[in-house]
Amino acid sequence: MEEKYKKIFENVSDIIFLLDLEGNIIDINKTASDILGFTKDELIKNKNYKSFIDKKIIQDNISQTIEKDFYVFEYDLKKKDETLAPVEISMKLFDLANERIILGVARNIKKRKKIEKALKDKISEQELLLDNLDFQIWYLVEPESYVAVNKARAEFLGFKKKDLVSRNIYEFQSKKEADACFNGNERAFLEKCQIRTEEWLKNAKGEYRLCRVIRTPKLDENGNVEYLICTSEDITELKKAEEEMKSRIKKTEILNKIIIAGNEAKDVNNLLKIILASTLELLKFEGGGIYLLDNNNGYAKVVCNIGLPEDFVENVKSVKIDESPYNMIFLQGKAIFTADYHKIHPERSKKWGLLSLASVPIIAEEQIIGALNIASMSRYSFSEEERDLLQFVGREMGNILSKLKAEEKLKESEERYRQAYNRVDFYKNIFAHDINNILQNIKMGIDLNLKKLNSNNDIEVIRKLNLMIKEQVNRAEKLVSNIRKLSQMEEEVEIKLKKINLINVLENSIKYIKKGFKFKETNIILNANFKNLYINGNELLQDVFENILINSINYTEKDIVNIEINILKQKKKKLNYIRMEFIDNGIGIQDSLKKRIFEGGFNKHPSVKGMGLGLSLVKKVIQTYNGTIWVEDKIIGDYSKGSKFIILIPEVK
Amino acid sequence: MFIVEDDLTLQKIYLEILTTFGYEVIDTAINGEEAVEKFKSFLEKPEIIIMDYRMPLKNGIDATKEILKLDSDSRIIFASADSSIETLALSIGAISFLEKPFDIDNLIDLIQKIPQML
Repeated sequence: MEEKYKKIFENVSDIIFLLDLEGNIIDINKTASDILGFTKDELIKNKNYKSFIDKKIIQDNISQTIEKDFYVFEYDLKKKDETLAPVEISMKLFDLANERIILGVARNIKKRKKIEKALKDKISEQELLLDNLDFQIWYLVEPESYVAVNKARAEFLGFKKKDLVSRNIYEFQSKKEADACFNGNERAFLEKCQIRTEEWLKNAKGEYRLCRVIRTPKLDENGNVEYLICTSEDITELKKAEEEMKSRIKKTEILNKIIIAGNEAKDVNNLLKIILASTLELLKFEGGGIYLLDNNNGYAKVVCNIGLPEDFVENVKSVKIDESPYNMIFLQGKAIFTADYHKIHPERSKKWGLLSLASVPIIAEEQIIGALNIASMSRYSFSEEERDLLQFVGREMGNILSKLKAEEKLKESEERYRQAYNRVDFYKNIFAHDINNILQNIKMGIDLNLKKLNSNNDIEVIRKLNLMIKEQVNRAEKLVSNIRKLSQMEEEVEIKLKKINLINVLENSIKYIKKGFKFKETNIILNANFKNLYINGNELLQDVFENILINSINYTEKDIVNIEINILKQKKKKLNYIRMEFIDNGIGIQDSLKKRIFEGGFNKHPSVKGMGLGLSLVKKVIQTYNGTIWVEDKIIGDYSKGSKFIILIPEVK
Repeated sequence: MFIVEDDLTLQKIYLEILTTFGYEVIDTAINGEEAVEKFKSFLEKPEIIIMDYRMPLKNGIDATKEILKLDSDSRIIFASADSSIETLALSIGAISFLEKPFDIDNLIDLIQKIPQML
């Protein structure tokens, strides 16, 4: 049995040795000789272990072994050829024949050491790699404690790496930040999936930075979370850049909108509204307005406003351009940007709560034509970029307005040409038809007269024919006069009115008709209880009365023309009007013609002859007096009994 | 005779002339619409119609078309200051066209020639 153990003792792959408590080798196996190159005798008898192990080391470890009963340590044994043999030495204290000795086993750990070194190198390499990253990396096995962190994470938090190993996050972060971290960690542990968050964290310099944190759980084979790998990236600058980019894109979009609106605009007011609304949207201002200069009287007037209180607009709707601060904008062409509006207009600022204002001149062809203003109740500091942008909008507006003005001028000119062409066409038409019709009457009247004279009878018929010829001449005269006056009215931009006595004008018209139209017996009765009635009118009022009276004379089949004129006062929408009724016994006007008879003029195709033109002149004149005219049946429902022309004109006291 | 003319003075002159020259005027109308309505009501159709062109409610061309539809034998003399519608007036069946201003003799000659024109 002893022999058997002896054999095992000598041939195991580990070095086995027995020591007394003083460190002397009592026995050592053959494997020691094989590994170290010493003979057994050299190792025992010569007590030569000093050459392969330091006696002090042995003694220290014997002390540890005595104390702990069993002790393990690693050591590099020195071989006879001076090379080293790394071993793990286990020492066990025990009693052998009443003597306390130590059994030692030295296991060759060369391979293990090699693996360990490789592993250590690998870890060190990985650490180097992780420390080389800007990304912050850490891992944890429970929601509130770090296991380890990389250099970037430690530096971000203002610590050294080793200071954060196994540290509770509540020990080095504010409660708010630690709570956010904890919640994210806990979710990743519970939900067992990657969690991405954006968290504001305070860095070592005390600055708050926005971090994108990704927590990825590592699951074991049972699906439980072993640990979390966390990364964090400081995205503050990225976010800022993103926001700035978004803002730039938005600004570009709005500028495009302004330019497109300008190119497509057909109406100046609509264009101004679009530009103002876009500018307000661009700078997130509550309200604003656009002034345009009225160069004739040195004032600038608000032509468009959005989001401003009505009473404020009323207060600023017209400003003198040579008064401060408007002179700066309108005369010097300088922009105003202020967050201290109360210093410029303390009362307005106090009353309407305005604090910030930007006012930039609108410049067209190097001339200041107005100003674009935006205002806010918040204090706002305009950046250089925003100032440039607003001034750019001011200049762009000027260009667009100037273009629109040119287009409008062109349109006006085209319209004038069109009107002129229509007028020529119209006069040609009048001469081709109306004058020829009158000439027809005159020609036939004279022919008939001559025939009657030859037969030397029908003196009464001859007299009537002569009167008719005279009337036709008057008609031609009136037609020419109407054309001239209608044409003048259509060309005149502004018709000047003055206070005139309507009764006087009417009496003169009646006198003229009675004198000039004797072909038919004409009775005109004027029912007016007033000697003087005033309106704002002009000399064309006489043409109004004459045309209506001539119409009544011409459009009757009866030999005696009866015209009754009633002058009354009437109230309409709290205003005082003079009501004039011209009632005749003519052929009347069918309902379908009652509106059309006033629609002559060169813009309409004349459906009736010369007198239709007279009524269109009448309507035009009445409209310039802010009055109205219409026709009714003398007997309601029976047009054939005659017409009643009614005129309403505002009375002037 | 039937006179269709919106100028009442001219209506009266036509009436005086035609009566002087021995023609009977059975009626007058002041626009195309009235002319068609009156034509429908005539028991004895007029031998000749003198038709103006520019009139309210219905012009001479439309009135001529409707009258000829009612009686294709109607003889219509168009009398207008608008020479541009002469071809149209003749193409739809007017027997002749007189451009205003014309002489009484032109009218009477034309009326007298109408039986030979048929």
